[in-house]
Amino acid sequence: MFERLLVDSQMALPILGWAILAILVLMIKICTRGVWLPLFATVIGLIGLIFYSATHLNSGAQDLFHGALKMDSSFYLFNLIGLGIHLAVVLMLIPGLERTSKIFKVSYEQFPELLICLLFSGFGLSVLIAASDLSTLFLGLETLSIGVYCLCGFYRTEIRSTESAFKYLMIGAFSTVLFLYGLAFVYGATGATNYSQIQSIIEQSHLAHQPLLMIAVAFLIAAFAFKLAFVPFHLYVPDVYEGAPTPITAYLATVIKVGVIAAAFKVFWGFFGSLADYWEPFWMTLCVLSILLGNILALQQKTLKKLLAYSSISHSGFLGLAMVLTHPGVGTTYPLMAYLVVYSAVTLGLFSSISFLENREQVFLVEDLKGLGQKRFWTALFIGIFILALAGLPPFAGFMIKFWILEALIEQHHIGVAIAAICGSVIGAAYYLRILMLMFMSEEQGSASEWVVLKDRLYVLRLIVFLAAILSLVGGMRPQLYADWILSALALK
Amino acid sequence: MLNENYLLVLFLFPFFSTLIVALSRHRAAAWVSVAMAFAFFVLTLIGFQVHELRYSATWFGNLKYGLYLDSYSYFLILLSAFLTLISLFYSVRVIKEKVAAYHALFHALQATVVGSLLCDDLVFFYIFWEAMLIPMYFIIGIWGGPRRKYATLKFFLFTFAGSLLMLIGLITTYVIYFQQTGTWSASFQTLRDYFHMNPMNFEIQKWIFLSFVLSFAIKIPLFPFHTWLPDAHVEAPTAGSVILAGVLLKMGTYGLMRFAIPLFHESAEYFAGALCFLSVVGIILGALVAWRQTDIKKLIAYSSVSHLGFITLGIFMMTEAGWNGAYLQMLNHGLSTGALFLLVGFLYDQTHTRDIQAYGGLAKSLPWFALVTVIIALSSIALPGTNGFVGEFLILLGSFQSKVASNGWVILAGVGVILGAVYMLHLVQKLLYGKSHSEKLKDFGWREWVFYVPLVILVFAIGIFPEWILGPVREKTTAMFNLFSTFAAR
Repeated sequence: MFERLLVDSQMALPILGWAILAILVLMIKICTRGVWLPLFATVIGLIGLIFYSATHLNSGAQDLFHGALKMDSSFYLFNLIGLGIHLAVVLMLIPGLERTSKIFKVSYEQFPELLICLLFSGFGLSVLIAASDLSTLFLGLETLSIGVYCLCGFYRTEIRSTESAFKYLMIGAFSTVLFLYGLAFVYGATGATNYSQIQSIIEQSHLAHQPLLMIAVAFLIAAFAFKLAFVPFHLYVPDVYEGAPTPITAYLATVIKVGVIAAAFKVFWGFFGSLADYWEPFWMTLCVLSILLGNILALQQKTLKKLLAYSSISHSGFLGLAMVLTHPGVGTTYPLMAYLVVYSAVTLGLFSSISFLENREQVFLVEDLKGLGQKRFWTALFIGIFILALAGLPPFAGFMIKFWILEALIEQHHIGVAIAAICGSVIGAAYYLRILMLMFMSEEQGSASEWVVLKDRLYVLRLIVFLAAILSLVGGMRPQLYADWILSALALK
Repeated sequence: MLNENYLLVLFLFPFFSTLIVALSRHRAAAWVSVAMAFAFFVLTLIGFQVHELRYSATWFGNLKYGLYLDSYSYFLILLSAFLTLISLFYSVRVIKEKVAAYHALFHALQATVVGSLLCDDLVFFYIFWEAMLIPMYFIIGIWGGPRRKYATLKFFLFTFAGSLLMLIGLITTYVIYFQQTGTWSASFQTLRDYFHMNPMNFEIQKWIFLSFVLSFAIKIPLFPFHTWLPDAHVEAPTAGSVILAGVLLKMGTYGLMRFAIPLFHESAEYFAGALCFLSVVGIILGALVAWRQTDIKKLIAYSSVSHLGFITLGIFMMTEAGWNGAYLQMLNHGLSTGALFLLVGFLYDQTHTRDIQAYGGLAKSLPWFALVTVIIALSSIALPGTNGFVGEFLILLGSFQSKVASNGWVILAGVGVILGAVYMLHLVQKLLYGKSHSEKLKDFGWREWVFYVPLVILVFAIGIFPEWILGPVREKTTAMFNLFSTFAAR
């Protein structure tokens, strides 16, 4: 018994590694006073975990801890994406790490706590991705969320940051209740908590029409929709994004989506696979609403981070579509993975570029970007690349990921959804182009070109921006680079 | 003899020159760019004897890409290379701000145009087709006139909306191919051959065809999708107008002749009558509106709507003569409208107004300018002996032979020719004759002659000996119509 536990723990190193790292950083924080040692430990630990996960990419599927966790090739892939995002977010924090800088004026000493929260969230993420039991699913989601609530409120003295954390906490608690209800109903209907048991019970005893399961499906869709910010469950997103520190906004926009979509994939195509006729139309409607309304509402936004929040809502819609289309057996997970990789890279690059400019004492208006192309050409150029990639124009990677989703939609006869998605993209182009217009075609100078917030160690940000730009360019032109990698990882090739 | 590597060089060269120009020093950039454009023009000329070339390779996964050159694509590449060369040469003196970026964007535009002309693969074509918008968006938006932001956004959104709908049609086409054959291919040749043998469900085909036509019609622009064009032209810098009118509009008509009609021949015949009607409306309406314009650039923009109406009329009448004429007219319109925009630019740089009323009596003060203007205007009116005549004659001839629409429409289109003379001569009269307002204008210097001499020579060269273009084009058209007729007979 104990031996079995030991073996499983060793196998689960990619998951437990997060927690071990978090505890290690916590120890360092307790024993020392500086901020640099915990930071180095985090960075080196994350790089180590990345290498470990990358080398185990092709190991077969394993059930761990009596089927509570399941590690297969898609787990390693999602985990790798999560690790990459964590590393990028931690690096994004480095340039502002000065006792005197505006960002850390109050909370410089608390910086290691931020790292610890990040790492525990990461632990939650990997549990969520690996979950194959209702209990671990819930644990993973909560561990991920609790860390993020703390992160949003990191600027304790700032009212917007506090508002952000509070709003997120309240909405998060509400969606957790829905989630628990859903899980309880699943258990009530089937009497099992393990995914594969639930699946076989549903299929064998013809429970498909049972009202209890229908209610469970409805609750779970709502809960996932809250976390993924589908319209009409999106109302908290703009405020939370705006109040949170910019690197944390990037974190919110990427990590949460990776974890929740991976979990949704396993839940809906796992044990709810035979109920697809029921949940698919609802899920797709929510996705289409998000794509359309997200883009329409973004048109009216005055502040940059709110605009990007609405843009991320519309991308959530695409991501949700990619999840539905990733039928086991029919489609490949390729569109989903490619969407996550490219979208995360572009988002991280964009938010890194913004944190170059940002001045925490003022709200960053879209208008502030005016004339940036004249004053800071390179920053503006990179922002331009990311914006075009988000808008989904070729030759940028954003086009290819949209292309795959459209292809899968048409292949599975959802022409109406494809046309709605296209309409959303056209509306989206209007506000993306407005940003380009302000940056490159305006004679006046906005205030963003005057703000100088970050001075030291900017090379770290430049590195992230540059890598993200390469990924968002090369991804579109030669997807072979990562297509092969992903396909071989999934053993589809 | 040229082999398929020539295609690869032709395809990659503009990308290479974009990079070179973008990285060159501020002062040298303009001349480096002209030199690169000249090199590309020479490179294009080398391929003159080529009738058909093919190159194929694998891109990723299921999508193969192929490059394909024939007479249809070749002459448009030649036109694009030529117009890019002269408009960049013209810009050397005019553009003083952000020179490297300006020239690099033109080369990037050239790269996307050549890419979409050369590709055989539909996905590949689509990528270039849409990427074409980005450089033009910046060219109008940064170096344009006072209302440039509005104009460039309108231009972008119109075209973007149309092309995304085409994307759905395009994906549906090759998904249907996949579902019927079990193999993936987006190659135009493969799809065309397959769908000629196994026509797809007519109801679906109709919608796919319409999605293609909508996208191309916006680009052309066919009435009633033309409203973006006058705005874009008025606000664009001169060189931008030249390329927009000369090259980008032709991509729409090229798309019809190359992709939409050969792939969905059945639907094309079904909708031909309606589309002919739209073309005729475009011809008459464009001409009438052009007549009433006071802004010279707007006048030329509406004249483009009218001329492009002729081209689409020739295409949708579905006769061989009509297609030959339409193709020739694409080149003619590129040359004459390009030249007209350059002439307006020449005046505008000195006087900073485009108002027709501000000019008069230029024949006296600018005799050389007047000579060239008259020649180009006559070419645009389609006087016998100039290039325009051959094209319009063939289009009308083809239309009379056609069974698609009644001859009444063709006669109305013929009225359009007269209206064309009305607005063009109106322009010439106002500019060149009457009371002189502007005395202190300088006439052509050596820079102007560098590009007006070849333009004027081409006007007559095509007008008197059209065979050097029509010969290869006719061969291609005949081959295409043979294919259509085997399809109809089956």
